[in-house]
Amino acid sequence: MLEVVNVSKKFDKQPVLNAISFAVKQGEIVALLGESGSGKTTLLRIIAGLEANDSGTITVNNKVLSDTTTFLKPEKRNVGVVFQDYALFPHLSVEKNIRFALKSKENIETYLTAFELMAHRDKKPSQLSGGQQQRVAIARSLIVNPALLLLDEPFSSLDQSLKRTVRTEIASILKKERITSIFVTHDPNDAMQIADKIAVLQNGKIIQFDTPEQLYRKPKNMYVGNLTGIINEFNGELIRPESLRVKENVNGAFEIKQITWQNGSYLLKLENNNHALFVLSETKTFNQKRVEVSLRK
Amino acid sequence: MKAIQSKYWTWIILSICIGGIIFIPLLFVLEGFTLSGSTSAEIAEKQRNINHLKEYVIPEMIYTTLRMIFGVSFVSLLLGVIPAYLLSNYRFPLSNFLRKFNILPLTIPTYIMGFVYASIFSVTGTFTKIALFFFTPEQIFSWDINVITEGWLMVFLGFSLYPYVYSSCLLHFSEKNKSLDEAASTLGVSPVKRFLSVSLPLAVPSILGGVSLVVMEVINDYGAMSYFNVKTFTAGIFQAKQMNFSGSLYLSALLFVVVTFVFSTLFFIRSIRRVKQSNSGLTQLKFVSRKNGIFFSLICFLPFFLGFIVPVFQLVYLASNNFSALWSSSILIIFFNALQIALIAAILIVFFAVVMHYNRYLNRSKFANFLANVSTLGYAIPGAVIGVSVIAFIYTLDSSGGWYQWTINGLVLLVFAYVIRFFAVGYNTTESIFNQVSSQLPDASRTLGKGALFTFLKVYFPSVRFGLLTTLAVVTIDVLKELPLTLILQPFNFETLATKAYKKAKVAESVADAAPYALLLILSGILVTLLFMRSDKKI
Repeated sequence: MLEVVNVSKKFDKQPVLNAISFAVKQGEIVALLGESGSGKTTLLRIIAGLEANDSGTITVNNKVLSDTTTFLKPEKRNVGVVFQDYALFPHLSVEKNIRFALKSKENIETYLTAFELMAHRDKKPSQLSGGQQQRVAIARSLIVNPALLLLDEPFSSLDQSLKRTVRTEIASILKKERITSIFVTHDPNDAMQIADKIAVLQNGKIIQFDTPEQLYRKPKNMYVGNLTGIINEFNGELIRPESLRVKENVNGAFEIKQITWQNGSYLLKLENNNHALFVLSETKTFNQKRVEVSLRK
Repeated sequence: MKAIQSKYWTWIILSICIGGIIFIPLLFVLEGFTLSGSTSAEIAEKQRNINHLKEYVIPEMIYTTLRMIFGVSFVSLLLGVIPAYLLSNYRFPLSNFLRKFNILPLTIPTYIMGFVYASIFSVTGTFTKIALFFFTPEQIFSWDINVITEGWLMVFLGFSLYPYVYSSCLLHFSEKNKSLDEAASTLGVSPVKRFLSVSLPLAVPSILGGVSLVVMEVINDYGAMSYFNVKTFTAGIFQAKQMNFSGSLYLSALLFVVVTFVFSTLFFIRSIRRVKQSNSGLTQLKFVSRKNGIFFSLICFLPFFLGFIVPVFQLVYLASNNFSALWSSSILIIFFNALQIALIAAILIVFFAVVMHYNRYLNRSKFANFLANVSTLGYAIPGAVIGVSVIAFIYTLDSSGGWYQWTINGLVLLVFAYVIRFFAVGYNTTESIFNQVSSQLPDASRTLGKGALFTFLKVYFPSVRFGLLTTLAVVTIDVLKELPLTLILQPFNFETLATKAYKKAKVAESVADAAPYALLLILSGILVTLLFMRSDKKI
């Protein structure tokens, strides 16, 4: 469906994206996950045609959007974008915003109903809540049947309680309609819960492109491991706390330094010669301060 | 290999044309450095003129201009920086009012400020009339007050121009990182030392920004300088023009080069002195004791009193003796004629500015930025130099002199020169309006399949249309106030409020006759300033 091959970009001679390559299949939801400045929004804007890539090729359904000889303007790409602050036209009503891209006066009531916007059709964007504004932005992008939908930090401006609801809503819409989409986020929870695949970006490079499960179980390095939870380096391998177990032993190599409550278990912080290790335990009562650590079978 | 970015050529070409229209005529002033002429006698004559200017006129003009620049800047700093600091940090009696209205002296053009104060201190002026209540005429005459001097002009121009320093400092102090100030106070540093060692050094780029505008105005001024008989560069250009055009062209060329150099240097200094500060939101205003509050009120009220209340009252007083003139048909005819021309220039400027901005948004290239920067150079160039450049440009196109007719007796030429001079005002005001509209709006439209023109008409323009009306008003008033450029290019039988006020005060030596024109000009300026304040809040 979408193929991004060796895409690079510099701003004022400063590399922002460095030979980025990945592919997205039809109906897949992909998250671009990274800290601010990692290049994820630039990559999204390049796919949308709002920025030009310096090198590399971008194709959608084998149609070249951008390569060394071609650059399709954003209006010619059939790629929808939901912007971070939604970019709803303030002077137009909800209905006119959604209708904006339509050439004919076709009926949009099914859309308004599906996105629960029927009661708000005549309101201006400033009269809507954050969640409603986001639904308008998505409806506006989807009404023209884009080949690909791009969402820039779709949940960043929502508060925690609203975020959970909206995240579930969006995931169900995208899945139900089998809309191929890419969304940018700096929050690993967003990426892990919605995406079929996650591309982790660091300093303009994709350092791992995998399913959420693989990213959690087999992170390529400490950075990816830390991004998706607590990770240990144990016997030369990257191991999650739940894959280790402790046994009390007066002569054990590790000393218990801290015990904290975490999601129904206890997280132990152990130390051996300044090397810290985190282990999940069912109990918090230990007779000895020293323990030995081994892999769970 | 870089991908070939699909350009929006229509907008690029439009912007190049606008940039060319605005910038190319300015270059014709450089003809002043050449010794062209049809005969060798003509060339020798030109050479003699230039040698005379170099030997006897230019050195004195340079010293006078520099003295005026430093003097007026000093007064403006004195009146602008401290009130800006106090009003952005403390709450005291009248502080809300003074924070907003300390900008109003800008509505009084420098030449009006000059002759209004001259009239106050004239032998039969308001000052003498008030002093007579307390002193005998002999005592007053023994003081021998004469304000028609260079030193007093520096002070009077400072009254008119300090708001440039005030407003840029107010913005800086209001948006500064308040934690820096708080950190200094927790270290036991006194408020005065905090101001001198933390706030002031960080405000240098803003102060320089304000001062550079003051400098531009001082260099540009002709009316006040000529009234006070101070021979700056601009006054010299006018004087030389009365004798021969080649002399004024040479002086204009020289001033063009100097001004371009000075403002490029100032721009460079500002850019390297600009310290990146994190912005922690607007500064919370602190309450002060009653005694300090009254003291602060007085400090902040004084510039407003001297720069606005005194001259306006003096003008109202003078006009009240001549009240019928204020509503006479001749004033209104002059006002509406000038307004028509100013509006045409302002509409062109706003249209050009919008196109230039949209091109910058669409094409996001260094070339688009360069075009915009070059086109805004006109504001730094004094009106007199622009006037002379435009004459040189048109004369090169049509040396027979027929140009005067094909520019509809000079009116088109005047509009053309206004566009060059005030494009920067329109561009910068439009920029602040566009900056408040997210660039994501047109981005959204384009990703929804709409082209550049549709996006411009249906998204870009509607988002800024009210702001553009304000820009139109701001530019119109600036055009109405412009004096030197209008004096150089004004067609026969065409007057503006500015030229009429100047001529009544200077040529007819009657400030009372000039007062109705000046008052109407100031009133229009006040209306636009209030409109701008309102729309600024609304956007």
